[in-house]
Amino acid sequence: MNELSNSVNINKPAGHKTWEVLFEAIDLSCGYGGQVVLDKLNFKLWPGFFCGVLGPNGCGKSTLVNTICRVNEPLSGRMQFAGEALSLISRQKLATNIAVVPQETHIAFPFKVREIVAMGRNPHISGVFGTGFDLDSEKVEQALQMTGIAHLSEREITHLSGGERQLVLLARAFAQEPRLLLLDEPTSNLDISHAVKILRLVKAGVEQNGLASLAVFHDLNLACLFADYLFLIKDGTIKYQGETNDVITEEILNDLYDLPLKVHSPAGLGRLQVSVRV
Amino acid sequence: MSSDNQQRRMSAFLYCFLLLLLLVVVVIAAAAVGAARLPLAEVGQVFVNLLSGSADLLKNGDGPGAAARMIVLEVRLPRIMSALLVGASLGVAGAVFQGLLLNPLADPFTIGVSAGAAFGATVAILLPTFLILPAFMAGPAIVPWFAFAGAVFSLALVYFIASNRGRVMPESMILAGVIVASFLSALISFCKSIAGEKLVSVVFWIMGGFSGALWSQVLLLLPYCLICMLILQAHAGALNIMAMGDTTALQLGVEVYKIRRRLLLVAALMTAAAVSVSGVIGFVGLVVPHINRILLGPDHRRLLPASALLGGLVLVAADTLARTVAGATEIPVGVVTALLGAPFFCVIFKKKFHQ
Repeated sequence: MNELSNSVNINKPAGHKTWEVLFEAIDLSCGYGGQVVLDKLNFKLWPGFFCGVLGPNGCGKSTLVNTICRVNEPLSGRMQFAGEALSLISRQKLATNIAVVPQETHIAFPFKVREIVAMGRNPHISGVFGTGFDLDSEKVEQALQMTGIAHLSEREITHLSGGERQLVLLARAFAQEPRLLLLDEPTSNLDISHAVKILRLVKAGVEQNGLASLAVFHDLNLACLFADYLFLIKDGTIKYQGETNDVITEEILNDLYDLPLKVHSPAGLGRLQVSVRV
Repeated sequence: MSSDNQQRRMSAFLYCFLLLLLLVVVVIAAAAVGAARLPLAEVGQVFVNLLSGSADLLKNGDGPGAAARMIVLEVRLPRIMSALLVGASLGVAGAVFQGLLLNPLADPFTIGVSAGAAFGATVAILLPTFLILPAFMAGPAIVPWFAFAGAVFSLALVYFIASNRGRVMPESMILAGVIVASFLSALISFCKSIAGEKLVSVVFWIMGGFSGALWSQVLLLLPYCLICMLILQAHAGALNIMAMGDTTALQLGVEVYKIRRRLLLVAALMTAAAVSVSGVIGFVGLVVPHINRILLGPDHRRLLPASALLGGLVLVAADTLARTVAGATEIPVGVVTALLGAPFFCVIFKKKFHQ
């Protein structure tokens, strides 16, 4: 992955990376109940790119994710998905294109892991009595295998640890076979090994299958390690954006977090790392 | 639900088949017992004739089995069928409400439909005392219609209070239901205080029962409930996904607000019809879905048909107990379900919270 990131160049994308726009936001404003949280955003997402969103708490990162997947309607502006206006795509069709891994989900009923993952197939099923899940689908099996949770498939979700639960939700998102995968702080409550495991799986999907991904990070160093491209949010807008190694500078980070941070470039990593100045 | 992580669940097909067998046994037994105890062979003969569609079923006035045929067909069977339909409706509606409101303590009456029905029935019972009514509105036949109207009215009121630009949130639905129900309960209490000699009728109606069951009611209820159940069953998969929460369900392509609105209305209208025939019968709609969820898991596609069967079974059995256990006097069936249902529910509740 390091090699890849080093070779990234605005003019010469490598691997599955292409600058063909999959998703585009044009003057997009989002928020709740008329209250503007993010104003006039302009950005694009590309297949084969792992994009990250950074910014202080409450800056509207989750709002952005919820607006892209149309849980919240945008206040103004437009969104385009593969050249089509997002607002004209039916919710079911949208769910075959965009999947979301949420931060934390409270699941009230003790569904089995396989049942939860199979719910990812719902948007692909049509018919009156067909909605719901197809437990035997090959795609469900693939998603279980890919995320390494096949051995948990008959367990109840309510009995799993936080890290296992998050893998189940990632598997469900994979079962949706999306072209764009959104992650809303998917690792914020996980230990470092589970966090890295999740992000590696997403990265593999991005690099091997040309998935486009937008992940909200709260951990700067994980963002530096995994994201190809970063959107930095402050004051209700995307204040900085660019390839990771270009925007992770002490000047920008100090502005973003109002905190003196130090940027390191560990030898041989090819990625920047950030620490607090004490 | 179970201390065992690798939880084994019953095959839904086998479970439903067993319920169906048991239901047949209970229905035949219920047709045989009562004030006049009928020999099982005669009752069985009536059922065989009924199912094979013998044309001279009712005309044949004499012969050895005539009395049995009369009692079973005209008195007991309408009652059994009413109990079966009401029980099935309450079981399914309970499962749907628990799934929709994401609340294990929800039941078909949580959103106030029963209070509306009870108020409507109270008004119908008291009306002749205060007004001179045209002939077609007099008599007990009008009570279910008033009850149904009351239930629909309270549903409309709850929906109006709870909805916000076409969206209903589970919590606001429960809250609005509680508010409307307590208001209507106060109105019912007021009516009782001025009811005079009609007080007994009001109290008995609210306690619930099937003693006046008619074939005409059954024939109205049957297609109505079947259609409601089919609509609900068609959305069972969506209900599973909506159990994940609104945000996740939207992200999985489910039109959450539209489907929730539709299911709330259909389940509540089914409950309204059931309540207007039977009165307020508690605990069936609460406990039946819980038993099934423990045995079958939370998949609504299996839960709804199983709850229909178990709900029908339980209510037919409870009604049979209600009319036989105390000899000539009949206990209100609502009393039987609550007396048996409440302790049972306590056991489940304790068991779940001790794990």
